[in-house]
Amino acid sequence: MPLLEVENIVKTFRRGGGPEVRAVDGVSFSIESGETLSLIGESGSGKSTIGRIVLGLEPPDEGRILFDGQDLTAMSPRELRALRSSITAVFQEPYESLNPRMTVEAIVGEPLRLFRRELSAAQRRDRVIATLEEVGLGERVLRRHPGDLSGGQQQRVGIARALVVDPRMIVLDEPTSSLDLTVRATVLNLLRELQERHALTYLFISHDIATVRYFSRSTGVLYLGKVMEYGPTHELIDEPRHPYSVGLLSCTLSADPDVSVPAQRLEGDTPSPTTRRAGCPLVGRCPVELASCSAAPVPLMPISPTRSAACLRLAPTEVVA
Amino acid sequence: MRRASPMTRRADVTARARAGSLRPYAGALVGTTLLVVLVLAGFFAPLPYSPVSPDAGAILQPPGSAHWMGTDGSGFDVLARVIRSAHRDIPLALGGVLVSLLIGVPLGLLAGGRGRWTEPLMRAVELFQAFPLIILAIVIVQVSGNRAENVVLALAIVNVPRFIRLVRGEVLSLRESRFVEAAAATGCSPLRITFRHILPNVPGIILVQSSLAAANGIIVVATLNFVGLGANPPEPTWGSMIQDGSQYLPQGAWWVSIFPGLAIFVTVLAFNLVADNLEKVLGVGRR
Repeated sequence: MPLLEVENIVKTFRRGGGPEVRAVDGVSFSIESGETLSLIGESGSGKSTIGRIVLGLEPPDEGRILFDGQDLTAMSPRELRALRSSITAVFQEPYESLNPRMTVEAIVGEPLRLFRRELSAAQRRDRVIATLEEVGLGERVLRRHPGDLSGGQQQRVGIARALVVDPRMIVLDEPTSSLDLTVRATVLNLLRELQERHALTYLFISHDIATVRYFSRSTGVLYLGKVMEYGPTHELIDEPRHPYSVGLLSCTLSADPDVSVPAQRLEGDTPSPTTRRAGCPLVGRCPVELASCSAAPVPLMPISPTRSAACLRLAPTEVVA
Repeated sequence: MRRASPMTRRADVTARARAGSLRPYAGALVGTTLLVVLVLAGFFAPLPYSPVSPDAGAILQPPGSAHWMGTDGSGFDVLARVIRSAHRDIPLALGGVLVSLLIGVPLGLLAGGRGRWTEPLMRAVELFQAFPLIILAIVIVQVSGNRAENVVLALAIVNVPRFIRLVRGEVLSLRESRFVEAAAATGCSPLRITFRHILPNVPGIILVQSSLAAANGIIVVATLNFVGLGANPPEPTWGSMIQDGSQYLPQGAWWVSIFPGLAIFVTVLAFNLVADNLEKVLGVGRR
């Protein structure tokens, strides 16, 4: 049984009487224990909203989230808070996600205060130090404030906070997007080591294809709140099938001169997410569009034993007919 | 002025302060020193003449070697009265700020929550602020009696709505910050988020606003005293001295009202100096 199953979640926002924004529009996925699933997409694709919903910070309008068989959407706020020792999070912008008035000891110790109440102050401190050492920081940062640390150190503190209560799953919301390239690599290595050592399950949210390739076994491509394509990461990146994935990947440059970049461009810009469409969200930008694309929603359909895509062009013939 | 993000601005300012500029610290120190000296002088300075017993033989003397700031129409020494007034006017203004803080900060914290009655509370605050507050203060002291407590009360009524709005605004902006979201993801209860994560980030802006409110308090106290409220003659106050001196201006006796006016000016300047420089040191915005 997968550790996390997300079934057909929908989340709609409405800002100040304006039009509805369907940030997440019927997304489903599952993650096996100890695995990593990446969600990639441009800003506005709904990837961060999905992270917030999985964390239980925001209820979905429709759909279910099953964590270890329990339905998050049926839980009370108190039960959801108790779950925060099992699913934790590392956020982007480490400096802004750490309280500037708290010391590193207070920040990393806070989850223990909440969930390991039986620990004495000394035991808690030992545990905090052990976790800090595990993420490559030492006892010397205990009394520091986030503002005294470098970006990489700040994100290590963020990781220690997520790790200290021994969670089963961590939602990584663009954990490295604000870091320098050299620091990014060491933080990603650290996350991989921790995953192996603690059998952690990761939901990795990113817009950076290079990071995803390095990091995860399977990947979902999001566009305007829908999953466009899903499959093993290396297959999906080396040979994207859905017109949107092809377009997205052709925007990234490869350092390898022998890798031919698919020369397929998407026309125009991402349309406003407020526009409601009956059919595929890519209608109007798609180079291989069919007349039937705008008629009805296009479901995610298997296109090979390991992959699926939401595209009529790629669908098994009987669906089109 | 809307701030992009309280955290990034705070970071910028700290970085700049670290880069070596000590001027804000010096400015805040100068302002604070000035105020301390004024209050201490009001209480303890050895005065050449009694501020409350007039010398009938020396009426409306211009500034000179005997009376440095001259004497008024009853024969009071102006210098003695200007100095003595500080022991009442400044503590009154500070007392008014303290009471405003005690009422305004908790209400502002509550108004920054998601309770059902936050909207009615904010409407009430707006209604209050639409009223000319100085007139309200005059009416309150007039009706409730000419005592120091009532002056403090009047100051509180002028300032509490401002503190509520300020604290609420800060709380709302902090509530949107990423570290509050992270605290929620960590499993903190709403109460813990408010007291452990939001409240400790609020004092900077309150400190700045308090200095500004104290500067304003000096003016409100002087205004009340000017219209003859909140003071018991012959006890001197800057406001009543200006009022008293104004009747001698046509005769050219400028010194009776100008010197207490200067005292008000210096005190307000000192409070503003503290506020402006605290703002720079702490890196908080003012509304």
